Amino acid sequence: MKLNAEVDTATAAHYRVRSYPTVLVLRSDGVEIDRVVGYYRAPDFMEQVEDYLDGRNTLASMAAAESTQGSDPAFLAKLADRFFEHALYQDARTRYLRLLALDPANKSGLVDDALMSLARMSRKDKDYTAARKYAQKVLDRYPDSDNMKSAFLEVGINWKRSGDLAKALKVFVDYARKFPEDEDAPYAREQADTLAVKLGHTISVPRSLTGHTL
Amino acid sequence: MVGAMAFTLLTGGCATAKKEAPATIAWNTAMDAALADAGKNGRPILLDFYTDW
Repeated sequence: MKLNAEVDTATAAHYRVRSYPTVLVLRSDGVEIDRVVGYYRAPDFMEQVEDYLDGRNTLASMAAAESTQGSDPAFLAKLADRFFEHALYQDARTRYLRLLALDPANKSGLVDDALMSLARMSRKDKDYTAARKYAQKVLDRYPDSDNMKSAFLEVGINWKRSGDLAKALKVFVDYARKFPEDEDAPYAREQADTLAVKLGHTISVPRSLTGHTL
Repeated sequence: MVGAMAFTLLTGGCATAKKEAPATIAWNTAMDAALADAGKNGRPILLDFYTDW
């Protein structure tokens, strides 16, 4: 069945659905077996649904395996991701932080992902300072990471959300300058333009609002 | 098996499974009705939360 999460907010809240798309696999009595969060290719999606119906790779089965596999970074990352998908942020946070402690040199290559997840969870919980700091750690510690650009934008987004518009503006301007050809450069420019207008209105600093001179 | 499962899961109430996938899925959009149907037939539910963003 299909539900518009913005309309049927009670059901979305009941199942703790906080990102979209989310597809729940439920028993016939409505109890959740597990969920698929995000977009997947059809065969991968079906494989996950089949696994859940057969009791494989569920969050419950993974959590049960933690006592034996909990020191394996790959397992920890996957378990944390699953908790994140279930919007069980505290459980996810504990595992991501354990992964950080376990692999400070990022030999697993999963620590930068974990930091980004910590940033996104903090942002969803409206803790914009923590979110920004986690994203900043990616930039400081792992500048060669695949997540570097996302982390860069995440820093700007969280400055903006916490009301530090001037700092946010600087980040988006820097982004658009550093990566002018990047697919997210238009987004950064748009953010910068909006922020420039807002700052112009609130602190009455004359600005050229017509030219995209960033 | 996968296709058939999706079919019986998603069409909810169609008794005869066909080999071809249906062109469109007859999605249920009311939770109460889906639960009643699933309970009656002992079938799991696939619940898709979407937004119009």
